[in-house]
Amino acid sequence: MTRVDWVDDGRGRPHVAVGTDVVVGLLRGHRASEAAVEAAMYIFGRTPAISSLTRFELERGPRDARGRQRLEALLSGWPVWPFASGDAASAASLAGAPGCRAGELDLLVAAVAVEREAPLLTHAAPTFRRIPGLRVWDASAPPPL
Amino acid sequence: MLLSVGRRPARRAGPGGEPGAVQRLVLFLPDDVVTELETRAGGNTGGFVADVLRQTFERARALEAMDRMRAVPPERGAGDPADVAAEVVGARRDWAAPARVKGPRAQRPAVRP
Repeated sequence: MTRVDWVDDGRGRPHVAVGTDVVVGLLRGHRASEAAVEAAMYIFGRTPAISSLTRFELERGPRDARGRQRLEALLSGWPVWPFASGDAASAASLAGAPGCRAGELDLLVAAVAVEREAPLLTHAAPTFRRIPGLRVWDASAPPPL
Repeated sequence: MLLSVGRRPARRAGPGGEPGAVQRLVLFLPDDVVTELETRAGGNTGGFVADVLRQTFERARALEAMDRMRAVPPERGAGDPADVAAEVVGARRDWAAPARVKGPRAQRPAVRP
């Protein structure tokens, strides 16, 4: 696993964009995902947020009432960023980056984070590493204390 | 002025919240102190303290939402496998995929010799 890039360079607003895989980890009760989100809040003073595209993925997931209740509880207190026109233009420019292995939906999510100058917290850090301008926080690696 | 947000220690109960509950630490500062803070923050008078307040409340809301989520048992058993990344990234694909339905092969009657 690639070493974590937890260092905050001080740019932008104090948010962290939480990737779909991390939210799925929260919904399934994984302690590593919870620890990563809480570290972003406690240690780095970031407010977690998700993109509307992540919400699209999440809304398709719950198979039963409990899954739905957990998702609704989480979304009741987390900001959801809309996918705006500027995000679309940004995603298009990111698509041609050399060595970029991210899929279409990943690129759109990354563009939302880049436009808001927020790091992306994800368990799939290697997938997002080559996207220009995106700061990636690896949720699978512990933060340095 | 609200300065911080955190959790009440797990073993400390008492007025203001249950053990482990999300807490807001509130300090009321005189106007001249607030002005000094805003000046040191780059002369952003009226914005810096308001930003700190808003951001801290947002984090408190996010923490409380996680607590409400934890109050509901997970859809599948909670676990913490050795390779969370592989498990959760794989789960994302499964999560976003349409619910599986049995195909024609499953519905086909067994062929008997």
